[in-house]
Amino acid sequence: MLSVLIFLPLLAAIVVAFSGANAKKVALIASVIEFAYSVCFYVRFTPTGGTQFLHSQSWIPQLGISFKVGMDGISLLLVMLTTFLVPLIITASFRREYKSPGLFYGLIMMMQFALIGVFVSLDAFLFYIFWELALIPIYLICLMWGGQDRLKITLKFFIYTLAGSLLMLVALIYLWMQTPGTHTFDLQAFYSLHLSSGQQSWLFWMLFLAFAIKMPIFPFHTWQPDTYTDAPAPGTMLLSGIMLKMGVYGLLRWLLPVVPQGVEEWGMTAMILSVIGIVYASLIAWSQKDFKRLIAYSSIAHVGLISAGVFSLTMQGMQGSVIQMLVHGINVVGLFFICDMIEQRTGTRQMEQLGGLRTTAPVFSTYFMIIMLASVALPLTNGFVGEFLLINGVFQYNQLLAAFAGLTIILGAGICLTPIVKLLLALRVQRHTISPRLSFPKKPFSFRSSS
Amino acid sequence: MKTLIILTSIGLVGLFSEIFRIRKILLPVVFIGLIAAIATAVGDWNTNVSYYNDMMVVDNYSLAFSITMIATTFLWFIMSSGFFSDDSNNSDHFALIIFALIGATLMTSFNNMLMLFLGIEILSISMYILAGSNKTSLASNESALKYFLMGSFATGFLLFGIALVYGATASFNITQIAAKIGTGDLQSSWMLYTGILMMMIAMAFKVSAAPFHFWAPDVYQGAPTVITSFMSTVVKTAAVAAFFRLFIHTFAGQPHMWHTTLWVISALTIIVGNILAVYQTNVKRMLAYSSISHAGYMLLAILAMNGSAGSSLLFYAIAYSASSLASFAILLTVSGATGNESIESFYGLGKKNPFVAVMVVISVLSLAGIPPTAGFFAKYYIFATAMQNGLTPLVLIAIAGSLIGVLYYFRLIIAIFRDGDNQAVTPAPLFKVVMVVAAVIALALGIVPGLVVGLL
Amino acid sequence: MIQLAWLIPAFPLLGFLITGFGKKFLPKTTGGYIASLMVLASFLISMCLFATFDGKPVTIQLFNWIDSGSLTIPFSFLIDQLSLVMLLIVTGVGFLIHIYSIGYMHDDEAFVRFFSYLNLFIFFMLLLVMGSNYIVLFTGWEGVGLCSYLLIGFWFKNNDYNLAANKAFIMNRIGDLGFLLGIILIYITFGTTSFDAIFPLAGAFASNQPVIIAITLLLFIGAMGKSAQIPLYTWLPDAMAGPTPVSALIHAATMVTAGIYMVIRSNVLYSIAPFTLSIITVVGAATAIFSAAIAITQTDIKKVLAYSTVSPLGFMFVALGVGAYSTALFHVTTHAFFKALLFLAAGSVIHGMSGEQDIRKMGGLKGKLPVTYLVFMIGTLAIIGFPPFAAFFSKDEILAKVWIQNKVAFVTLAITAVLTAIYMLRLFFLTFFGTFRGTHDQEHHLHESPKTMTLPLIVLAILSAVGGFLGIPEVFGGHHLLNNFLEPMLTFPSAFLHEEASHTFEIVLMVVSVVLLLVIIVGTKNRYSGKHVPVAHDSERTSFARWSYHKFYIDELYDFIIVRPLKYLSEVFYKIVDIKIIDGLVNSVNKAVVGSSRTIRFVQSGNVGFYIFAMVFGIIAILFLNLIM
Repeated sequence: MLSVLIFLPLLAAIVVAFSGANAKKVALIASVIEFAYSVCFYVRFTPTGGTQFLHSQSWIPQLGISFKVGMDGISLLLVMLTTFLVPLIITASFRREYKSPGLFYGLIMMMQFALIGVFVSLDAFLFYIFWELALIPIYLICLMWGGQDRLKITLKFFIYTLAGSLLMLVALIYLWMQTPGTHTFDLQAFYSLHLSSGQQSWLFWMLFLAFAIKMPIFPFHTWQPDTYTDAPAPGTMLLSGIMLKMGVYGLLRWLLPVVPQGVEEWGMTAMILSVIGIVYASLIAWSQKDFKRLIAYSSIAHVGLISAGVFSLTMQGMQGSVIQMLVHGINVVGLFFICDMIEQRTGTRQMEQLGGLRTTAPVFSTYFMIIMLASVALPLTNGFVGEFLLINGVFQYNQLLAAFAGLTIILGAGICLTPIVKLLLALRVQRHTISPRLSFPKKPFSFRSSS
Repeated sequence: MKTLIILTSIGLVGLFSEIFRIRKILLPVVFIGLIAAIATAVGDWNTNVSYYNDMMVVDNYSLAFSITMIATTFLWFIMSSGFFSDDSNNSDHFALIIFALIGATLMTSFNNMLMLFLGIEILSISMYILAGSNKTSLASNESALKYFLMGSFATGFLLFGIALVYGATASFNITQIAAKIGTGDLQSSWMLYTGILMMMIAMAFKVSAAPFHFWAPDVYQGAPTVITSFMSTVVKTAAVAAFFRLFIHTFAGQPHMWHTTLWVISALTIIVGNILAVYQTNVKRMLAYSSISHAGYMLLAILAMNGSAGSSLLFYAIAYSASSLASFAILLTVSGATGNESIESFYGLGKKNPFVAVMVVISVLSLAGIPPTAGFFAKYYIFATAMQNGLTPLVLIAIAGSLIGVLYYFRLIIAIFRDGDNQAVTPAPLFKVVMVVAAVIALALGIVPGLVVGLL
Repeated sequence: MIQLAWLIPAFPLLGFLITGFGKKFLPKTTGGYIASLMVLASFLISMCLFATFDGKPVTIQLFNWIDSGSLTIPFSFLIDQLSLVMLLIVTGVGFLIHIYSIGYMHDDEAFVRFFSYLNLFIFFMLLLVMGSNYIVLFTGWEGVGLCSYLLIGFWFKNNDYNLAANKAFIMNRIGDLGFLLGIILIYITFGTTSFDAIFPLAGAFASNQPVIIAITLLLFIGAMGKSAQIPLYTWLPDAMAGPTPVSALIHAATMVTAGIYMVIRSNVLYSIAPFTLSIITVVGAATAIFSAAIAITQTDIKKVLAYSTVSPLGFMFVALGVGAYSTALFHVTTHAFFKALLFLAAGSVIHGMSGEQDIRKMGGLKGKLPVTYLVFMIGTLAIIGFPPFAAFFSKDEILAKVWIQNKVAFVTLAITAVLTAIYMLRLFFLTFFGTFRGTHDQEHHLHESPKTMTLPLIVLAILSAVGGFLGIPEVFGGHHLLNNFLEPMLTFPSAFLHEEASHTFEIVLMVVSVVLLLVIIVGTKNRYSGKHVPVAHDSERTSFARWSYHKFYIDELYDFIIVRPLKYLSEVFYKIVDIKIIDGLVNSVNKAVVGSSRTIRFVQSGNVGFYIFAMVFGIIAILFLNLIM
């Protein structure tokens, strides 16, 4: 039953919240069970069967709101991504001691609950509730376990994304009003609306803004680097690995099919913004000194390409974006994990202060390198197929834009090589080192100066 | 009607309890009485009877709001029963609260301008006194005086408006006035126009809408906190409910006379209330400003003028009253422990008392309108209702207001997770009850809004 | 038999996995031998395939890789004449270099890692030449780029090497972008990326159609990156930071010729885009002469060889530009032999000189390193085109073909050939003749290389000596084996002249070049084999020599017009556009709210008089606006 899949993490969240010092383990077990359960759905899924596992129950019938959930291919993939990444994220944080672990891991499970809800909702109101619900745990995670400037940064993040969401809410209410008879929030009803192109234009912008801020697309991205940098590692992983996909998913499920004419009219603008974002964020990432911030900016570039693929409205672009969502989810989580390990063991993320990790930690460095190469989409890594399809899609839409979007091939390489050289290879007179084995030392800092 | 009688009896008991020395049993009597009042009100559901030559009509609308306000008062008594215990006049205060509640009930069920006026005055005069109930505090006295001065000013406008409407329609009866407005059978449409505007100004004052909100922050801050909590819940609900009843039942026939003006007032209230709250570091004053902005959101329901408007207003009133009461209970707890009402006194609350911290999070989320709380659904419901009447621009303004709201409400959440001193904060058991009940309401109505949505 | 072709790349991949995962456990030499055996296995299979090949191309499909709407990309191999020739070169030369490396890298602590990279490189190179569609080709293309990157920066403790590796990777990526866009355009134009499906369709296009020009130009951009043509050539000289066998294998014999392979592979498309061919001619000729002009003053033995690689690559592109595809491949083949030989011999010299690479410090090594001396001489004679060594045939064939189509290019190439002879002989005489100019310590350690190194040298020397017989021109009664072999898969651009160079011309050309070479040999011997020490300081150089020595300041130019502006832009984007403008705009909303809150809170003064005044003002405004207006 799909509802069980949705509510299991919520139940887990409550249990975890009250399990004190064992919270980590309980959360891990719960998330693994959740993953196993989601695999059952994967197995039972019929690839050509459209939306499946439908479950509909009236919720607020007076307002045409129902608890309607179901999964098609895209939903399934994103749900799988979520259930797959959450245990990984929990495992990645295993060696770290976070204060009040019950609350911390409870919030992570809460987050999973909301994320799965977002990906399976077929009712606009339900979708919105889950969408907002995802924001609260991550806000609290960043607020309570974040870095130095968390108070300001997290509030900005919250208000910025909430602004987008509220605009989306207005758009959804408007769509609801357009449905015939006693109004309904059913997604299918939205799909079959006949809206004038004027209506579609402003609906497009309201919805697009919400998704664009979430992803984020240039120029709505300025909350992102600060938040990613400041959030605790699991928070960053959740934000970048899964939460960002909510925005892309929103485009695919709630924007393109609902306001096709609006997309036709304004898609070019969205496309241009996405492509600007690719080049712009890549260039900025290049000059970053903080490794985490570098990944944050490069993530903006990646997302720009994904959204450009979506707006290309081509088969290849769309498929590429779906593939790339999964791939980016995995790679970026890996990168942030690497970043967290380095920070944890050396006490810094500043690339200028690091170096020579390949000498002291060769195995770690190999993994680092592989993930980095995957994130620049070298063939035979997971990134290539998606990126190829995306650029292909954009090319079919507009060749000039594709040339710019393709710059990601060059700029991405630049971004990926900088940390490799600075962190892994370069030797510095005074440097922090990382102990050679992939185990964690008792002391959080291992600091030695070499000749 | 029975509800009103029961309430009046409790009020009289309270008034005479000092004489008959039955102060000790007063509180139980009040509780039992309030429960009885709620029970009778529930019993009257779906009856729709008019009383005293059609002076008042007890319909579902009035019952729903009466029940809300009586229940809020009930919770309020739980919270503040200890507050006046060392005060020789506490029975008087109890009686005054009950009388204010009677006024509030009248304001939701009037069918005659006279009853409206009576209700408003019973409520207001009680509140004037209660605002100054802390006789030793200069601020309390000042607030009572300000409230009285400016309230009288507004009452004048109300009377003036009633007179003009009477002049135009030759009736005090709501039904008759509405009929005449509907058919256009008027002595003078200018008189009606002016009358409606005058009454709107008076009602705007009562709900503390901009630009007639100036009294609210000063009075809210100066009055004893328990009284402030009563004002910002029951009194506000009553005023908005009366405003709604007056304009929807009476003046709906001529929306062009008031709709635009009220639109502007609503927008202004939302903007001013929210913006003013941003710079406040005193939590009580911040809540006062935020109550102004909530009045602005509730005015949207009046402007919506459609089938679900009453229902959305009721939902908003319930959600707002519950969370507001909870936040005042929290404020009382914290300021009781630290001695001041500034935001700093909330620092470190997350560590000091996780229970209160959770309550803060829930009530703040509800006040700010974030899912899955009742506050969110209330906002959504009222926005959706308003948009159905073409008020999308106003809704966008309201959304901007909500965003600003997050800016200051979340300061409380941020504060509780900051590092603070180690002074213990322990809420009294009764406060806990209020907080828990309010939190349950906030979450229950947020998750199952259908409980209230279908009532009206 | 042919169905087993997938084993060819599988063996090196297996080798990579074994050596990659086992680098901790495997004894040093074992790793090297396993890796070499894997390549040998591939070579043997390739030989069998070659022997049994019946002239019909065969596609071997492994699995469907990408399946997206109308875009289906199978992971499959194509065995035809072209890929067979390339297979033999890659696995053959690759095997020799593996053997050589066992000796050369013997003392390196990361010996096994080195072999795992080499095997990985061979794997990707085989994918590149065997792929039956552009995507598999591209996979190999990117893969060899990665291996090149890893191997250039093999000694990663030296940061200059790392930067050289970065440079190579990024420059290649610039080309790759063009290549990828070209592939996408092919897909959009033809609806497929498989060679056997595209080329028949190309016949329907008229000559010089814009879309075909665009495709071929984009693909050529890719080739420019990989094969180090102007303006993307600067990475190759720097790539000499890698161990010498790497330079020989990747940056001389195989990977850098991938661009030429790709153009030959796409010859059907290029033949209907004469415009692109003319651009290729120009770029190739310019690269050839330009790099020769740089090589003539370099003092690092590997740098000279590096530029002497860029220059022949230019030759090959000119050959492609005039539609002489098989001639280009002929030169690729001979070049693979003699350039690998030269690099390995240079490696042997460096090995003997304890790591010294500056030819000013060498001299008189003839007696100390006899085998190396001999093979180096053969290599030098081969590259300058002295008969009957390899390049004599291949280079003259190019010159003859170019003469017919393009006289300017011919003159350029002729001058380049002269320059090539001069700098190669300069290198040769400076290194092996005269007197030893190094330190006493170096002289003491001077030794001939071990058998594992000299054996491959000898084999390559033989190949360099006889490689030219693959394509004996008709004028000598030859059959031009290679040309005939490749014939079935080539098309000739219809826009070009179809005449063959007259036999008289060919003979004149050969005679002239031989005479010229003899003159140069005598001249350079006199100049460089004496006791005379070459110039050591800039001040002693003429202005041309100074420019040449500093590579015409192209690196500095790129740094100035591309790298620095980008860095600057990056900083500006970050510090000004992002933080100040965009984020500033976002924050200004917050500031506006807080600011207005701070301002209008003074209205709330507590003064009842003012409150009532404000209220009255509001009332008047309402009444006035409603009733009067």
